[in-house]
Amino acid sequence: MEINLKINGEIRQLSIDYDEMLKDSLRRLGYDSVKSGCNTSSCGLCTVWLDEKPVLSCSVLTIRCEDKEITTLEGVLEEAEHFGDFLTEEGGEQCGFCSPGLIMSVLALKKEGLTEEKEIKDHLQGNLCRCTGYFSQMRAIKKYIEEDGHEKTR
Amino acid sequence: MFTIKKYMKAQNLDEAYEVLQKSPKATILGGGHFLKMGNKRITTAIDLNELGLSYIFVGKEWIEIGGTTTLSEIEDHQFFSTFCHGILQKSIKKIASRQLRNTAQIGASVYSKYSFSDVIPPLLLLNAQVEFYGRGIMDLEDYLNIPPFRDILTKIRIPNIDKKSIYLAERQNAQDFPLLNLAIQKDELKIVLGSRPGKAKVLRKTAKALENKEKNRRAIAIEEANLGSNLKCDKKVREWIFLGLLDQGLKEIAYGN
Repeated sequence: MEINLKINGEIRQLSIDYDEMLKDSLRRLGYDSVKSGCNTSSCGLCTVWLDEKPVLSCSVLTIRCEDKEITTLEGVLEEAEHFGDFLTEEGGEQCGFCSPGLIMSVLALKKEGLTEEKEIKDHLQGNLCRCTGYFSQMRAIKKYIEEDGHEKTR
Repeated sequence: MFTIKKYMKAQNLDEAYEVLQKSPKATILGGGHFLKMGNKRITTAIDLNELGLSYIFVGKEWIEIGGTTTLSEIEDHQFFSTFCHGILQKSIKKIASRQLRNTAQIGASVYSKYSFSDVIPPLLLLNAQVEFYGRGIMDLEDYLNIPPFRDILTKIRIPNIDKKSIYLAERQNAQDFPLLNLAIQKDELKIVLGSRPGKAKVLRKTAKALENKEKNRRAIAIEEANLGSNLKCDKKVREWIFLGLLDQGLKEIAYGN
């Protein structure tokens, strides 16, 4: 069937099967930041925002997204690049395959105003990384959030 | 991965219920995470998301949670952060990931009677009731113990009685299903055990034996728990975990904040 999806503020038309998952639709449309990992709702590589909330696009049916706003990394590039600087500075990006999903989750947690380490860890529980051991990522996230806090209070 | 022949965005509960009764392979879509792990051939996938069943209502006597309310909506709800020592939120926060909880729906978790559920033991502890479109209201405990039937879980009702309650779970890693989970409530001691690996169970004999300080209370607990083995954990290991969790839980409920 034909449906319209609102992706990064743009309406895109697409022909889908009823059982097609959002991750596959987005990749077909060229949103390659959406990675395919476990396909079992575990790894977080396919994280996108649905109505501003992070979700696992490997487990969301495309047909259920018709009236919703979908945001991929391509839609928040400026902010993603800003956080990416912290990530590279701290060595938090190694093979980089998990980075798009991680970045989408980090930007979401910043919007929610989470600053405590425990809150951050809880929020990022669903973003697995096999390279970094998470310490460098955590350093980058903390600095990114702290810097933003300093800027706001300046 | 499941397949879907036809998709139906239900306009009302009547329509959804009718399709569900007529077609044996019609299926209600919840969050879809667990459904996706199977190979079900779904003739009609029924989507309830537009029916206004996503809500939390805190009344004087009852708290009502709509069937399509997501786990993160409960997790973020101010009332549940303190109600019964935040037991429902504490159990939900342990489920997989924030991303999953943003789409997983409480009605689907309860309707499916998942034995590994983090959310069913606390609900049983809180004397929750479930309301079905066809069958009406029944106690969650009764629902867990009757054969499955095809219906739509429209809401979960919890008596608005605040009691000290705790939730403990043992798992291999933070994202995993629990190997065993336990919910305990004070005043009149109530203990609920989940992931046995069978359905969650209220341990009445154990609570009585503990309150009466019976000498063989540990043996009674093991017998009543009726633990088993599965791919995740051996029966013997579950028994050790159970006794450990029970000791910890009783201490926390007696002396914890």
